Amino acid sequence: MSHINSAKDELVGLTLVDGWKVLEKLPRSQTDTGGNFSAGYIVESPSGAKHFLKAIDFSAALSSADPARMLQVLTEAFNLERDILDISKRLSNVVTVIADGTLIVNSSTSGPQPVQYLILELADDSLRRMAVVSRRLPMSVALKALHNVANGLRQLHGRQVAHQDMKPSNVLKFADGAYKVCDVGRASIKGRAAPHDHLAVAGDKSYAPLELLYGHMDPDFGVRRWGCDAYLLGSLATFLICGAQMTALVVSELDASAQPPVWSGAYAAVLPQVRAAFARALDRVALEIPSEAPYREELALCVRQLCDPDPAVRGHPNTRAVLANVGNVYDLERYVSIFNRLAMMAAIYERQNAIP
Amino acid sequence: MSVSQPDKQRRLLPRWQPSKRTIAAGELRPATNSAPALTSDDEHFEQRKEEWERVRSIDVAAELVGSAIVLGRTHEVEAAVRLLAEPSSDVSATLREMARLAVGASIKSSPKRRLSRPGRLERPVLYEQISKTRQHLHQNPRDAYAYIDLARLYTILGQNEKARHVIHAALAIAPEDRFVLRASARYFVHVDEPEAALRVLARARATAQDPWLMAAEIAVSQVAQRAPRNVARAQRALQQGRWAPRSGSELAGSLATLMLKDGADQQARQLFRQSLVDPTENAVAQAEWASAETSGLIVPEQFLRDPNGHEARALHDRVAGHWSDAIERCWDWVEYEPTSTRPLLLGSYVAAVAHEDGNTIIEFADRGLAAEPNNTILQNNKAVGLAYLGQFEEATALLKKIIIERSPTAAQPALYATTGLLFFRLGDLENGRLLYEKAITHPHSRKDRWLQALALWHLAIEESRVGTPEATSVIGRAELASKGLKVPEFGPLRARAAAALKRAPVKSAHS
Repeated sequence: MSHINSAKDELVGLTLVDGWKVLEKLPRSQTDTGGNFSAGYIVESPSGAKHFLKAIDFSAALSSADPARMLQVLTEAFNLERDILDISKRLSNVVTVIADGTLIVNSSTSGPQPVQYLILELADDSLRRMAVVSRRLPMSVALKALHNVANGLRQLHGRQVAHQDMKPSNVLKFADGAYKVCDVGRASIKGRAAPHDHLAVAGDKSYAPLELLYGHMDPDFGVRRWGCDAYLLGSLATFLICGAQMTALVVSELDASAQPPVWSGAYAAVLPQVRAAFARALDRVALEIPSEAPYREELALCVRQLCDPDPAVRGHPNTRAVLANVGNVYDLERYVSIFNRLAMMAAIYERQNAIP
Repeated sequence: MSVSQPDKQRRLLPRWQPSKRTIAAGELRPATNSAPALTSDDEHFEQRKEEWERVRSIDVAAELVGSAIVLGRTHEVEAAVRLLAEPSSDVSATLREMARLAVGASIKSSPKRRLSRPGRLERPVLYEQISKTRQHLHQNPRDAYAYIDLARLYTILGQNEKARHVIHAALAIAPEDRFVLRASARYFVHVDEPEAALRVLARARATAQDPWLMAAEIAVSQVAQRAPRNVARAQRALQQGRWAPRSGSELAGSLATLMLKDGADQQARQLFRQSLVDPTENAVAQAEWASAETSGLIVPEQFLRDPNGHEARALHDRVAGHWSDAIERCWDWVEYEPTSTRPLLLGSYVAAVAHEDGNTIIEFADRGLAAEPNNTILQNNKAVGLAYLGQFEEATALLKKIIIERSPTAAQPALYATTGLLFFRLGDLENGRLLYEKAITHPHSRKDRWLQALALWHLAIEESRVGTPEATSVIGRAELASKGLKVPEFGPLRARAAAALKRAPVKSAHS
């Protein structure tokens, strides 16, 4: 679908009810959440602090093929996102919502229109734009980001939320050096219906766990959604190591007949092939970590455990053993501490070897 | 007669190929044609394409190409792929290789060592492969296909017990997987435990649904001389066209073989034709074998050109009397299917009956004996090769290790005949004749006119070489025994007997 220009695109120069000023519209690539119905801006608080504003124009749904359905989807999605942000307040590694509200915009194309907005913390950067692909991000920084992201996901899981769309563009870096998880537009809360529940892949297909791409949807919330987050954390680690998504690496190692856009059988039937391709992909990824780096084996092992193509064995084996039948077997607490330790090891290693 | 005859009964047992080759051959595709779960339309991909048009950076290219790979749309992002795949691009080797694979470059692997002779057992190469696979399994202990590949390497080396352990490991990890089940069944048939193969197949729920597993079950049941369980179900499903032709190919061939054995030639031919709509090379080989057993079945020439169709071509060349070509195809087949003794038996048989080529017979036999040193049939064949070369002491030493009466019944006629051959070549015509007659009148030969005629032709050649008065009458007996049999080797055997008779001096019957 092409981009629809509407009231949500005409906020620059406006002042919101609490004195927030809309300064600048951000290009779509930096705000690519919410599809064609949202736009991103930089806003300034009355005290002069800059923040991020996400604007959603429900009236744009009226020009869609099924306006009633689209309006319902957008409303439900917005309410879910707002509620998740609300229950995620004060989580140290999840982007915090500052304010939300409605603004009437006198659109040049459609007259006065209500635009719903959320004001969030403004980051300095996202992992997507931090020269990861050209391998200029030191491993100590990458591991610190992983530690923060693992903590952010763990914090969300503690609030019964599964993120489901963790990818480099959804990891933001802040001025104090902390990394936070953002964009909960594709998240789900355990026990509450979400408009994207019917989709096999709630988030970005390009990063999705392999079982979801093959249409395997476990009825258990934990397996399907927290298992997805565990995979996405491992995939993020892969990206930080070699600049590629784990899903694409595995798919590229598969025979054409077994790739997700072609395979029409059950996931269980293709799993051995996927596992063999995963093993080959993993061998390549492991080679990207310097052989003398002290964190090499443990980091590769984390990726192996987190990205296991079988959600039934994914995650830390000790966590699985302890929490089987009593808790979230994808609990990320162990990875929070592992990545923290590895980040410190990497920092020492880089200092000793004068790696910039 | 000397070397044992090749397959009288060919069963369409699964080929045991490395997992990568099996996947590439399309044997692991879903049996039915239905829609995949993943649709290739994606809003994020469209946004990434738009961004790529604005910003031609490697960061954008990397994400775009990754998306394209997952969605199967790499043809739309060729410029981005090229940027990443360039040797000078500032990206990781992994990302560069991913981009290369996206445009269809073959998966990079260590260059294959050229074998000094196709089919030769290269132990150092195999040990290296075993070591690599074991290392891989140490890191990836849930890779069931790697276990099966390791078991195959052990089997090639004749280390069957090691192979058994790894087969069980694979079955524990993936008890319903088609490749694991078919390879496991093939292993148990290889070690002469067809009942165990049937148990493995029967335990899997998939066997009642999957045409590839049904085909294996029917073929293994024939080996075990049991009634297959899935015949009615398979026939119904094939009639309904439930599966893609490729998926049903081996099942149709297996059923056809069953029909052929039961004398239902017309139904068999119909099923063989069904098996040839989109056949595997194994199904082509089965049909090629069957074409010599029944009339009116012709395997289209195009299927014989399959790059892996070595067996089918060997069988075709044999029927056509292209003996040297048949031997070369057997060598290719040995290399393609190194766990099987069948190409070794056919190759040595052709080399013996058509050319009396001792060196080639020994080469085939030694290749098999390297993995199975106690294989009676291969030992017998080697003894024949040695006798043809005049190396009587070695041949005698080899045969002395075998107690014929304790050998498998099917091998006994060949063993008697080979001992007879040795006596003839050593000048003891009386004992030679006696042993050949034992081969001809053996209960197993009595049930098999081909075997009887073959033994008679070999006796005729030996009598003719020496020029005994019995030579002509034995030739007559051989001709009588061959009457009505369509065996391509009888031609060269007849010619060899005639040529020997022409050359040989006439001797008394009891000299």
